[in-house]
This record gives sequence, C-alpha cells and structure tokens, in this order.
Amino acid sequence: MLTLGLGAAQAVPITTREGVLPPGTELNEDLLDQPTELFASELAGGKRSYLLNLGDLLFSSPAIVGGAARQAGISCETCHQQGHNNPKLFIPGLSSRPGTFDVSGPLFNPKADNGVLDAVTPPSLRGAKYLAPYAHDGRFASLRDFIRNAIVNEFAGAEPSAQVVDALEAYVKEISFLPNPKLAAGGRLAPQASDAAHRGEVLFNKPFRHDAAMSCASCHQPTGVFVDHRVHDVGTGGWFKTPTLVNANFNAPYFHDGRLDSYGQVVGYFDRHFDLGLSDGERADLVAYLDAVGDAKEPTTRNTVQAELDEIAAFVSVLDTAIPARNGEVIALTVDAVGSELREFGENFPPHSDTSVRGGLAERLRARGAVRGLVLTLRQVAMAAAGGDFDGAAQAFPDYRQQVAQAAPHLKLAERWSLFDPDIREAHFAALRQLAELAR
Amino acid sequence: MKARDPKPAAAIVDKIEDVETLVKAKDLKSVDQAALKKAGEELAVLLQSAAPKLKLKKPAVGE
Repeated sequence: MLTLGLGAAQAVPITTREGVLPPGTELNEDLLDQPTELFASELAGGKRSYLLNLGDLLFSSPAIVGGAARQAGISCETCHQQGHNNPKLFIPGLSSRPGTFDVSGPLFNPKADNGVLDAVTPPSLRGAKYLAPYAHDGRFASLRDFIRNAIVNEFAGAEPSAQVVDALEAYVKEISFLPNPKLAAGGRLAPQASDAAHRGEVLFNKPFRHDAAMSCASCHQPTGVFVDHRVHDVGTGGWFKTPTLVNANFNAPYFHDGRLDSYGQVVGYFDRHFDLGLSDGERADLVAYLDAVGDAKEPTTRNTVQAELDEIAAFVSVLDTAIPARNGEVIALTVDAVGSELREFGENFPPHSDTSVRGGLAERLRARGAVRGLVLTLRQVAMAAAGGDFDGAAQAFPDYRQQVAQAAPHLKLAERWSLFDPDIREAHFAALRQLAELAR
Repeated sequence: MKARDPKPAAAIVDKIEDVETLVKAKDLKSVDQAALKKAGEELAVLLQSAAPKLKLKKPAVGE
C-alpha cells in the first residue's frame, strides 16, 4: 500500500485508486463530492457563531497538534472529513485496514505507544452531542475531555488553551445528523420505508430467543438516536459503546475496529453471537431496516469554487471578533489555518507544468496569483497583530476583503479549467497515478 | 534600503536569516514546513512593503 511520507519530501507512492496518499499531499483531497456537513444552528434558521467558525477552522488546522502529525499536515479533518469519517484513511503501520487508525501507535506520540496495533475507526461526528460517552470504549464522559486527549495524548500537541477547546467543542456539537425521510419522530420508521424494512423493525424489537430480556432495541434504543449510552461486550475483544444507527449507511466499516463492511455481515455476526436463529429472509429484513434507519437525504455535496469561498469567508469572519478583541492567539491560528486552506484551494487551478489540463492557462494562472495575493494580505494582518499593532491589523484587514471581492470573478471564471471540473479532475489524478506507477 | 529606511531593511535581513536557518535542516524531512511557509510569507510581505520606498512597483505574486 502507501507509505506515510513525513516532512517536505512527501513522496507519491500511489499504487491503487483505493489507496490514500499521505495527509497533506494532493490525492488526499480526492473528494469532489464531500460528506454533507449540516449545522444545528443553520438548520434552525440561525447562523454560524464565532465559536463554531473558530472550531471549524481549528478542526482543519495541523497547528493544534504536534510532532510528526503536525509535520505531516494531519488535522482532525484528516480522519473526520467534514465532521464525518474517512473510510479511505490508511497509514501503514498504524491502520489494520482502510478506515482505521491506531491512536496509541509509536509515530504520532511515542509516549502513548502501547506496543499493540489496536487500530479503531474514527467515527462520524454527526450528532455527537447526543452520543456520550466518547471514544469507542466510552472512557470519556465529556466531549471536552475527549478533544483534549486527542490533541495532547494522541497527536502530541501542546496543552490547548480554553478558547481552543471551547471552539472545537462548539463546532463538534453543532454537527447534525442528516435528515432522513424514512425515519419518523421517536425513532419509528416512516410509511415510505419498504415493507421489508417494516418487517425488520418488528424483528429489531423482538426479544432474543435465548434471553427474552434482550433485543437489538435494548441497546440501540429506537427513541431517537439508537444508543443506550453504555458499553457492552459483544464478543469483539472488549467493552465498546453502542454506536448510533442514524445515518449509519455512510459509517462503514463497522464495529470499533472496522472489521465488517456491510449490514449483511453485521446482522450475520449478531445472529451467530446471540444464536438468534434468523432465517435468510429475516436477516434480509433486518438489513432493510438498518438501511432505512441509516439513510440520509443528501449524503454528499459537490465541492465548488463558491463553496470554497464561502467556507473560507466563514473562517475569516473569526477575525471580525478577534482583531478588535486583540486576541493574538486566535488571529495567529486563523491566519495560519486560512492560509493553508487558501494554498490548497489555489492548487485546484493547475499551473502550466500540469500537462493533463488543457485550456484556460491564463485564467488558471490569474486564479493562482489571486489566491497567493490573499495569503500574503492575510499574513500582513497576522504580522501586525504579532507585533502588538492591532490597529495596523485592523487597517490591513479590509484590504483582504476587497481583494476577495476582486478575485472572486477570476476564480469562478477559471473554475471550468480547474480540478472542480470532474473530467479535468479525473485527467489530473490519472496522470498523477501514472507517474506514481512509473516511480515504483 | 538601509539608506532609505534602516528599520524595515533590518527586518528583511532578519527574516532572510530566519528562512536560511529553517532550510539548514539536516535533511528535507526535518524542515519545519509550517514555519518555513510562514517565514516565507512574512519575507514576501516585507519585500512588498519595501518596494514603494525604493520607488518600485509593489511586486505581485504569481507564476
């Protein structure tokens, strides 16, 4: 498979379309259709708060972690893309299979190395505020403790400030489940679910034949988010918390260590483990039920120039509060994170050296230049603030907004020759894969 | 630049030294990429700010 290239010499040992390049390299961003991310405040007709925006940008920032992770460009977003999971994540030596990762391995924090390859799935964070306790083994009662542990103990970051943890907690708690028209209030199936799903719903609530006090529903309580907030030993090598079934169609691989790929395998496992004696038809009905409960209306969202501009604008809006508040830490973190986002954004407009893309070279180069100009203007804000000149930072900041307004039409014009176009994207990555094959 | 305005001139020299220190790592893997990007951007900003003082056009970034 692939190797984790740390440092500036991030090589490109890509061997398959299924593989994932080291974090921070180009193919790692190979998601034109991204997991949909919805925030509770916006769903309720409100807006993104300062804390949410700050948390969102910190979530994408390697600056809050340390050691090898920071050097490799790893952030929370690497494992939880758009607050969801990352089924393609694979780091040799730390992953037992795609979609898993050992958070107590030797690379990212040698102090936490337990000498065992015990890779787990980074779970989707949709609905996380309803899913305490945290971590697969449920050892953290609060999300706050979990976040702090991930930064300091899993990824060797410095002790985060209170405002950093506040923001990350606010962001994660805002990530909503995706709407699912097949699920009615109170965790019941809606009428539009299939007949098989409705039959599965009955089976799901039916007592086990050898233990009438138990059913699937006794742990996955169908009262809203299908959990019981407890840990159980179901024969998978320890005590692990009950995962939610909401939107779970998009959460594979399943179980704490990602050992199973499909609902069919999951149902088969429990059939054997609890000796349920299910017929083939009953197993199929249970799968149909899980598929209905785990569905979502729009699980992915196409990424576009406008979507990138909107996200970056949301991140930058943090400075509207941080500069007047003379909050040097947040200004520095914001400029670093947004600068990184802008650089990645700019790489979507291939330069002349990319021979897989034809046409629109002048437009692409103008777009790249515009993005680089934005990076430097924002850096000017950070430099002023770092020198204690917050008035200077306040004076420089409107220049950034003005430049964005001027750059936006050029960026949108260049979109048709950029990696936001599916055909151009495929040609670009096909060429990279070919290069990688030659390099082997 | 030293003759026109010694303070920004000194800042530019200091920043060039910062960049030199960062790239003097024992190998490429040891280079602190985040620090190097930041220092490079800061140097570019300083040079952009200095240009008008030398009656030069502010350089644009691009290819």
